[in-house]
Amino acid sequence: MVTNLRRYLRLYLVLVKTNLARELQFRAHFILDNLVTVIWSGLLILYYIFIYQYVSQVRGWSLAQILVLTGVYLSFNSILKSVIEQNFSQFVRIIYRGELDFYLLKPVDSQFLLSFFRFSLRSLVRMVLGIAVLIWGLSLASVPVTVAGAVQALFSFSLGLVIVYSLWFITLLLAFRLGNIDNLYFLFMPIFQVSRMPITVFPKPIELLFSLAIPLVFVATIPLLAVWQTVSWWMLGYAAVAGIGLLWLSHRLWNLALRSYVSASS
Amino acid sequence: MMHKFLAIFTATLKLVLVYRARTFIWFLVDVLPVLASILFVMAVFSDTGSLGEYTRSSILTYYLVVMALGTVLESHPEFAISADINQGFLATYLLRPLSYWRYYAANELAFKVFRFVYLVPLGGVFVWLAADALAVSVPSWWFWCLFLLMVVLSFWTYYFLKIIVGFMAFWFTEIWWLIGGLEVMNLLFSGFMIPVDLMPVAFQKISAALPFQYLIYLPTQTILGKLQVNQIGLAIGVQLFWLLTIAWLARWVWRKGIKNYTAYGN
Repeated sequence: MVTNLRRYLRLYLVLVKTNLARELQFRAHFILDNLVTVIWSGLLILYYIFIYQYVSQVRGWSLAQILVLTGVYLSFNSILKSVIEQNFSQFVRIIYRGELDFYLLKPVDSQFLLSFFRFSLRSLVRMVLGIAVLIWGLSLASVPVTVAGAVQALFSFSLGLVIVYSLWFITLLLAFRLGNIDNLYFLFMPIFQVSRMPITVFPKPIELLFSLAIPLVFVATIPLLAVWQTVSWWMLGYAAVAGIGLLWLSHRLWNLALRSYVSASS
Repeated sequence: MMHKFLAIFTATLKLVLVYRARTFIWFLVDVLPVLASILFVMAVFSDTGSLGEYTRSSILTYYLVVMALGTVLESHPEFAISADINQGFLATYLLRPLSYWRYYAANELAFKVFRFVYLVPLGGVFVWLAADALAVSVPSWWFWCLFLLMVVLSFWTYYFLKIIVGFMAFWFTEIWWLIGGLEVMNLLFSGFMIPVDLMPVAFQKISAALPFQYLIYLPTQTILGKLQVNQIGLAIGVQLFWLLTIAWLARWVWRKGIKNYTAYGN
């Protein structure tokens, strides 16, 4: 198991290096993409600043807390865009054109290779901005961050990544049924965007939907609440169950979907 | 001339009917983020009775109208145009007895008709659920006529703006940063994110100097009954100015670009 993990880690490092070399060939695009990403992120911050001109709290959420939430969301989104999005944007094309053969014939797990073959740093500045906003929010909130709180936040944040990866991957499996739906990878994005907002301010049924059925609450809301240690242990336990459960489900569904795959090559 | 336009329009409609899921995903991409904004703004009203000059019902109506207008007005020919230019397909269009511009105009109109088909039941559900909470205030039928005129002008302004971005592929191999940049400006200044009059004065001044607020924000204000007839007349005048300017600019960019264009093939 450990040897296997090391092997995959080594493989991933090689993939990252190759992708970075490719990316640095197009430096101007790299810089411009990062610039637009920063402006996008700024827009999100502006939205809340505009709203909080008129109110001091939204269902108990102050601007400082919202800024911390936005910082967490931006960091999360940056990881998602760097590690996963580049791969998922190719998913439908790979299946539809029969290029999946290339992944299936390699002596590694095909889901791993398809999910992590590409890596990009076009969202790198978003991560820097996210951390800056996070620090800004924390300083405004002036609530001390404990080690236990930080560990809990990191725990739910990591499981949030696993949850989002699995949910997104599962939606992409529709490509095996629907065929050439090249925008299938966008299907999850607008749903995911809900996580940029504090999910606990929504009406109860919608809060429950995004806490239990589509647990996007673990992207930013729960990590933030964990910082201030206001999250119950059962919720952190649910993050683990949902994360591991959805990852397992994504792998099962992938293997099931592969049975219906017919290559398009000659 | 018209029969060619209709032929393309019909052909695209048939294509859209084949890829219904694809169109539905684009529809969700447009609609879901606005629904999330509505949920957050409704939460704001749990702590306050008004947001600037907006009541709970007027802000709900505002976002629903913005959602509807955004879905049917904002076209996206830039993706296909940049692909045509970068991959050399433009040459095949240039050889046909057909205007390249009109081809994509017919295309976009067909897409919008289908979007409208999705929008009607969704809008119907909202009107049914929130009929008492909506604040539509149109004093007479000719206000509806003025509103429709504004909508038509908005559609074409969006179209020409987007084809300019697409034509940038004559000079840049990658235009994602431009598409993203325009989208940010549009989200911020057209009133998608937040009503322009809720922004700080500095932003309102910038917004007044750009075309975006005339595309979504002012038509929406017309429906909310916030504009007098002379203000609507002025808005239509400025809309016309922007439409003519942007259309002229599109033509100029096209002429410059086509001189620059080299296609490959056999």
